Amino acid sequence: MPTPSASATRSTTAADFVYAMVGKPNCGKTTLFNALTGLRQKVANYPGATVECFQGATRGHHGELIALVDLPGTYSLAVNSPDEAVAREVMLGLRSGTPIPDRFLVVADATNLQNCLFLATQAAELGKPVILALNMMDEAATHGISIDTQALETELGLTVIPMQANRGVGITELKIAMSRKELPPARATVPLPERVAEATHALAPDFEKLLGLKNTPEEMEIASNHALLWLTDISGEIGPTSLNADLALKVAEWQEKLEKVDPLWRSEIIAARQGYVATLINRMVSDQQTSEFTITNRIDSVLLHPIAGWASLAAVMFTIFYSIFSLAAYPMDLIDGAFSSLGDWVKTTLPAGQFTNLLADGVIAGVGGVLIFLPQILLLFFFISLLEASGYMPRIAFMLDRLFSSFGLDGRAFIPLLSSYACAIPGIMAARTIRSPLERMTTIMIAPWMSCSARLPVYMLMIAVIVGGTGASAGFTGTLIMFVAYILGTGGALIAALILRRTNLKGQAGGFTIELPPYRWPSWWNVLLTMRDRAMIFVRKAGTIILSISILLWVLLNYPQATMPDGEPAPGNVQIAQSFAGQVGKAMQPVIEPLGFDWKIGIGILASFAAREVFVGTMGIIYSVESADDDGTKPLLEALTEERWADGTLVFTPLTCLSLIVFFIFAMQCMSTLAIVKRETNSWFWPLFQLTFMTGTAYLLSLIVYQGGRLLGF
Amino acid sequence: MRLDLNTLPIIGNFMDTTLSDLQPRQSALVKGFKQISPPLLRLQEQGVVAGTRIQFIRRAPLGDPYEIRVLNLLLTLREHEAASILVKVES
Repeated sequence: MPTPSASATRSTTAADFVYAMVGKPNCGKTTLFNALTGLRQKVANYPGATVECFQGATRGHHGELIALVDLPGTYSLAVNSPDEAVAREVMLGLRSGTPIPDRFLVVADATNLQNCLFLATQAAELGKPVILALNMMDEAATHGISIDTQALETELGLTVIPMQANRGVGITELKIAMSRKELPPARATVPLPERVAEATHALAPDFEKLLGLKNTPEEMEIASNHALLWLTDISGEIGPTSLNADLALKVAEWQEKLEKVDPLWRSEIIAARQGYVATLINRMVSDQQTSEFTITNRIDSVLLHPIAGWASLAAVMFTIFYSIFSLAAYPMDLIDGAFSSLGDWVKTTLPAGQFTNLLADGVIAGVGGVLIFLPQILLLFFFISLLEASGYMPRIAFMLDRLFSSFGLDGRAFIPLLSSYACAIPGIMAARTIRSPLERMTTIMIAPWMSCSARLPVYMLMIAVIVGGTGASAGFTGTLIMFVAYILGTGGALIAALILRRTNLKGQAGGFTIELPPYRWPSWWNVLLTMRDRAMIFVRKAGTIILSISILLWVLLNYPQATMPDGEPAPGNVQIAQSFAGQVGKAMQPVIEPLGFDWKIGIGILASFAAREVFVGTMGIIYSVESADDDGTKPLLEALTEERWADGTLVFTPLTCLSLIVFFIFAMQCMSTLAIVKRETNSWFWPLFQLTFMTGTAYLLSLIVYQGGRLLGF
Repeated sequence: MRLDLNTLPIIGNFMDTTLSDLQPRQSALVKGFKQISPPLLRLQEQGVVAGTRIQFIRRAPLGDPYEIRVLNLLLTLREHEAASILVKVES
């Protein structure tokens, strides 16, 4: 039997087979995907209301090229959020630019087969071959669960492969099965409520045409199963679907009809499938004992305890921030040293001239000033992936949901918000998993106020100026200032959420129905892959955007070239003062002086609207240009602490540093974030709103800090 | 992992014991739903359907949401949803 719509589009991909990978959250899907594809994977994004789908490739038993599309974890193919809508379109091959899956790989957790079979039977109904990777067989055996895989294969027409993906057990068998040329299509016969069956049969002919099926009883069955998928969509909240307008209207009419006759019809469809799955389980699974979650329970009695739970959470968060602040200092000093020596080496080796200056002061100082933060980014993602993989992350969401819901958010917003501590871009993309559109939009709006890692360089530099040293020596005061900076950003974000949910984004609260997976040891391979992915994104940014900005800035700082009355080139400070950048900075000075900033800081702030970390690189460029007439480059920190206003007072007083930190906490200075918000919200209003409202707040708060501090005599 | 197929689902809007009336560590059978909303549908997809045994495990440290056990899953739900799930307490 031909698979729907496969023949028409198969030629577009070079792979022998394309598998869509589905499975419930926490079933080991990511581990299996990583085990199959290793380093040959990439993240695919879909503009509009979108999800991240990982794409990868593997070689079959005889060298066949097998492409894999990994979809986000889900319990059901019914659509409850924009996230799921896109995932399903990818699965059904309705998204252009994605290889069209001709087979499904359903990953199941053997200790939770009932939940996994719910999804597996939905996949089995769609007329394509289905391989069921029955993961965590070892855990199931420990719990005394035995599964009649033979009966499961016969009943649903599946290929079942028992495995333990985390230890590589069953991978070879899985690859052999995946590279089989002939795989029978799977099937499932779920008894539907009468009225629903009537609706799917009425819609079947339309779907038969849409999918290019034949008018045989078997294929009409497949068509009505597809109809069922669209029928159970929560209409109204879902963006444009790939159905044509006529068919979408027909589906909507049937939904209305069913709603009128029986408001609980959706519930009955689910109950019917759960009942069907239960009969399968009763026949095919025998369990001597149900698992008691002994270890998980014991850990949870501490980590979710009303007192010990909060203490643990605070300890975990403090450890993470302390590590990022002090542990990262050692590799950072090495990188810093390497870039300074490289700059000096270039200056002494190459003939003196503008090109050498551009290379040393522009390219090396600019890019080095940013790459130095790679260790921190790696550490942050190391911790985030540990939290995710161990099972603690959803528990943090569970603990904080009450608090978040009083600000009009969802406990699930914690994950996007926590990711935003690394970078608002993955954070905003992670907000797609929030079901309620209003709560999702609010989360997107406030996510950039979580102090992202691009702000770290600025905080670190300012803290170093305040406490007079870098890294571990800054110790407690530094950590404290950093901690307060993060709390300020987070607090501001929550207050903003509260305001937004009462004004622009008013509406009903969604639910909080997540799974708390048993605690597991993280897979170090998965953790390393995550760190690699994020590091690549950062390095690519440093290599492209930041490199070009560094060169541009260097030019703006060095031209027009100043000469002294005697025809000699002007010293650095004169040069900068009358350069293009200097002129702009000086024009800005009246606006930013009330915040305690001079025109050089102004240049830095202006440049940092491209990306925040550029600020430090810019300061590096400004001061290395200024000291170009000296023998070597002065360390930036030393240069900053010696910088004075025209009247001889220090520019970088602790108060100015704090004011600058406050400005960077709240201002929207990231073009990439604005671009992603535009894409995610599909409107220009929200990114522009964000730009003005965040930057306005930043200006106001910096003003309060600086002027208030002055009044108090600092 | 067993579902009692002889338990008839009762669906309707009337006063009854709901999941939000349970005490920590108490078990109950799901009887039905007072109403339907996207989070309640999600819970049903996760296995909270009529006839299933559930165990109330704990409240979050701030009192809400709740943690329950269904089949072999530990799930969370808010009080608002819990108050819509009708249950029969097991003696």
